[in-house]
Amino acid sequence: MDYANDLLELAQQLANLEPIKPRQACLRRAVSTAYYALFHLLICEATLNWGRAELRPELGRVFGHGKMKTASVEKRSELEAHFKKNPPASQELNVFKQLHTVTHTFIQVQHRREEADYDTGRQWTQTDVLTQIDAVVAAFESWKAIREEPVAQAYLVSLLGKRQRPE
Amino acid sequence: MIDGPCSTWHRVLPHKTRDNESVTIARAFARQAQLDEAVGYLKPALGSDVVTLRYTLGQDWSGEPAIFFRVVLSEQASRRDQLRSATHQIENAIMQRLQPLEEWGVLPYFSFRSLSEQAALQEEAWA
Repeated sequence: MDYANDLLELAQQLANLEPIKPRQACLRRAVSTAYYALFHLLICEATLNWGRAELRPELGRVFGHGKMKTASVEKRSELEAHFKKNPPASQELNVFKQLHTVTHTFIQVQHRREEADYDTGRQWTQTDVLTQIDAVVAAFESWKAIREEPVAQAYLVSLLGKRQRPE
Repeated sequence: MIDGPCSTWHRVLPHKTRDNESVTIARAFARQAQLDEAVGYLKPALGSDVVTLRYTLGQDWSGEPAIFFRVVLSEQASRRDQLRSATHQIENAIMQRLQPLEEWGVLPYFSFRSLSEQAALQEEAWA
């Protein structure tokens, strides 16, 4: 988790490096780094479940952006369907809301990372960048609050993607 | 896919296709006038933090149909100590009221800038 925390700190530094007229390069790098902070946080948390520590980095390479997005979209939809039923306040509901923050932020910042890295025609502003970084900070806090919950652990497993059955 | 008033996907009947019997497109693309109207109704409900609300339909990085919202925030909402709360509330309100994925078949994405930043950049897409 140190690496993910370091990336998030770096993203914050980049976003605030030039308060007046920040260069696009700084802003873009900040957004991209914020995404990778969350990406590596989730992978690190997932691979922590693997008993052999020396193999965790190798296991982490199995995770892919696309499958992580698909899993996050599915989980977010599932949580929103639950929220629509107006469930009563409970510890479980609080956990679901925190997980919603994580999934929603992951989806958002993943796409923004793509724009930041490749869409050079787009003008980034500090407000937009700080919004992304603040969201990732909130996602980190939410994750830390629920990381041991079964639904959070199940989400980590889902990030690997669904099993493909031969037709 | 089922085509109907509640369907988020629209079936486009084929002229002649090679491999597919029909092509499905998200409801947001098929019924843009209705979407315009829905977004128009949404804006006043978002409060004074939102100066302008614009959107574009397209595809996200992985090719999925998406709606990209561009929100110009008031200077008050753009303040460093207000930004997270303001943007979080706006995103939640749009997602709950419009239900982009469930009702329109598109994944929502959000971009924000302050009124002063937009005044400096003068981008028509945000105006």
